Amino acid sequence: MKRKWMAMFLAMMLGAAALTGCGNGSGEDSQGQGKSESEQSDQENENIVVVADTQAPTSLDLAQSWDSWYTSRWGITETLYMLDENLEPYPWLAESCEMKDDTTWEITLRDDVTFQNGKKMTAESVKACWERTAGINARFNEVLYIDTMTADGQKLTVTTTKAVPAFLNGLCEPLTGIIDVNDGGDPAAMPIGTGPFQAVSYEVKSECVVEKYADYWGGEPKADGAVIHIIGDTSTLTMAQQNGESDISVSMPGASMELFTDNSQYNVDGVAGSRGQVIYFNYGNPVLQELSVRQAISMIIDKDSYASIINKDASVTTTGLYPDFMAYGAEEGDGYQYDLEGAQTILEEAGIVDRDGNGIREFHGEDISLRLVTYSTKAELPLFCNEISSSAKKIGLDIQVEVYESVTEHQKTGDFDLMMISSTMCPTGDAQYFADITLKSGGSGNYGGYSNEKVDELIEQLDVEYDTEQRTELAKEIQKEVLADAGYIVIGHAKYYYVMGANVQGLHTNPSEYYLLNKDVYVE
Amino acid sequence: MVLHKIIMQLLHFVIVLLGISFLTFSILFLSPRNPAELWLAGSDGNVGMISEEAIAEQERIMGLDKPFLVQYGTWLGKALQGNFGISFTYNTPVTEEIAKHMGPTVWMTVISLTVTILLAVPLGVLCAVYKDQLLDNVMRIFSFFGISLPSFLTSIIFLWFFCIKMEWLPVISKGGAIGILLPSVVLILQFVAKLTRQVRAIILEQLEQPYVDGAITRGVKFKNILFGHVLKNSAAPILTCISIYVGLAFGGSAVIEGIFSVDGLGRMAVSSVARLDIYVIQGFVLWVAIVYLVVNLLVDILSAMIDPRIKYNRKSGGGS
Repeated sequence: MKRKWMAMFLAMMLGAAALTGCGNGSGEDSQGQGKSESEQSDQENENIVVVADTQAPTSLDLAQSWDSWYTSRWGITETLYMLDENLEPYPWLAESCEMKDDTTWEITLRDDVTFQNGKKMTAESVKACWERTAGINARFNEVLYIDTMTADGQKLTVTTTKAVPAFLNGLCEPLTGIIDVNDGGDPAAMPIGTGPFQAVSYEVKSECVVEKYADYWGGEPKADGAVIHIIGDTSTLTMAQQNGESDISVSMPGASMELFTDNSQYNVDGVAGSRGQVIYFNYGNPVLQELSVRQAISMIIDKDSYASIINKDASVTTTGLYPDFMAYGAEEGDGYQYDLEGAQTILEEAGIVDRDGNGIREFHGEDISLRLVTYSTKAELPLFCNEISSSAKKIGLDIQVEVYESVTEHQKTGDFDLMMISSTMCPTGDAQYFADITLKSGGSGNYGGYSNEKVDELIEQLDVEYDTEQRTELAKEIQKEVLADAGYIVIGHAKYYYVMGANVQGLHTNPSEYYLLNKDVYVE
Repeated sequence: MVLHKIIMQLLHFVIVLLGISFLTFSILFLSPRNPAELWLAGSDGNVGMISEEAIAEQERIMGLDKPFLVQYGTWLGKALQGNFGISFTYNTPVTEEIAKHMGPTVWMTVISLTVTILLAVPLGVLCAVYKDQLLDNVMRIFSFFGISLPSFLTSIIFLWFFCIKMEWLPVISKGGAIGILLPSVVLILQFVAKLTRQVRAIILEQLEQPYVDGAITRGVKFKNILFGHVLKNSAAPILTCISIYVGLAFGGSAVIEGIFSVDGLGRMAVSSVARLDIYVIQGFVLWVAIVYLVVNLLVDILSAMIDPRIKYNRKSGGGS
């Protein structure tokens, strides 16, 4: 009898939880709760792509924080230019973008683009959208440096506050995406973009539902819609792909990749991007001011093994700084090869030897002991650091690894000798970004205080050079100078992966991390 | 007299909550991280890639450019009117954010605590009565595993077994009862493993008291001693143990919620701390404080009702 009461009590509890939808608030299930049977049957016949990701935007308003990256990936918003597989910009919502003088650009928009509410996209609507974004997100002003905008039909004339040679690359950044801001709706919940899919609902950090925009200017999307599930844990993400609950998984950890090698069931599409594993030297430390020490450390890293064994091919190596596949990537002979003996010889020749026989070389009479800090959220970084520490011992250097949840404080205070972080070096495909913030003296991301007059001079030229070929040459020259100086070490660049069911068609990974759903994606 | 006590208690609540809110705000203000910078940098470690000018402008937009006391005073003034601020991350009122995430956590708490109490208390009593016998040994092994296994591991094992191996449940939570079933079971396992041992210890302590020996010597039936005296005397400490779990469960479990994709308070709290969403953190801390204050008050009242000595001590304490 008592058992019966207990069972009834539990059943009531679960029943009540089900009825209230656990307090999700919306009161309406995005999957179609409360719809008639025929409607649900129609839904079952629809071509719905199910995506799972561990990362999520805080809203669907592209002006907020970095939410634009997600609205772009989910096919809701688009930009005037897009990045190709080599991270080079090509026109998308714009027909062309012409430079009139150093600070004036004339953008001609496509004539056939409509927002998802049917309204035509004009220069006036682009202007209104950018004005709104600039008012909400201070980062916008550092992408395009817009001073004034003049709209005339499909022509938008933009003047900038300074010379912006990478203006076209800036037009690819999802933050410059276009929505109809005069629609009167709430862009955080229901943005009206120009993409192949329009937002139906978004429960923050839980689920986003999009449906196809049939009148999409690029042609009718092949899928009827998509459901994007936000999953809080990578193990859950892996299991959801394994049991077929998700068609496409984003942010799959490298360690799980070996579960998806069966080509009859899965299709793993990965390309190297510009997210580099970068080692910073702290130039406030006299030991690291020694070129020979920096060169020796550069030579104790077996980059090939790091990428293929430790990182299970989830990254590619580079002997330079920038990704090898880019126009300004490293050339044969650039950088340093793995050579433990060579590293020892360099240190010996510089007079950095182990005099007291304790296995550690001394610098000005003191053992060389360095702190290498990194963080744990990128799983490969602590593994790389431990391997460096182990190799360093072989050449008589003591490198102690410190792993933190975040190294933000260390970046600000300079509390490190060596620091390894994962950094997107060319988010919009242009070399200038990384050069400006990291390689230039006083750059906001130059945490170790690297300074090289020749490099600064070259970066200043790059900042005002408009000719593409010249820019490429300058970027290469900057890279060569930094490498000769052993100023930074880049171990390699992470691959950006989509793990898909074998029935997913029309999707190719782009190294920029900006794109996912497009009009050609569907489930067979 | 009762009214006076209630008013004093409420006053006490207000002072504690004010203190907690001030302390939390101070700690967040003193944090070396900058909410404006984190907002601009996103969650992908892009800190440092944003210029000082942009950060200053974002601080102005978010109202973080004002002195500490002005910021706290403004927040407090609005909070007293029921406005706990707008979340930096979600751009929605904090009360709305907390209410949205509260549902799953509250339901998981209610279910897991109800089942825990129904299982752990009788099991704890039985383990104490049949000390070192089969049931006690089995429960000892269960508790050992329940306490030692970290919640993330139990969760992943459950997910694998029920969703992949048996295919009884979906991996991706669809919300509702099904969505909170497995996380509730994980919580129940953890709570039962701990509470059973605690109840057992409390009962054993009572069973070793001289009054039990005296009653047995006088020929009183053990059943009567157990239900008439031992359980009655153990009720107050057991209640105190349970109250700790209430507070813990109402705060949410970020790890369990994360693995089962439950959008509860634990996940909200962790992501708010990661992005230094000051007003949401304030709201969450106040929520947990209120839960503890209310639970403590209820435990005090119930303990006084169960054990007259507590009431007597309170009165004598109050009169001295």
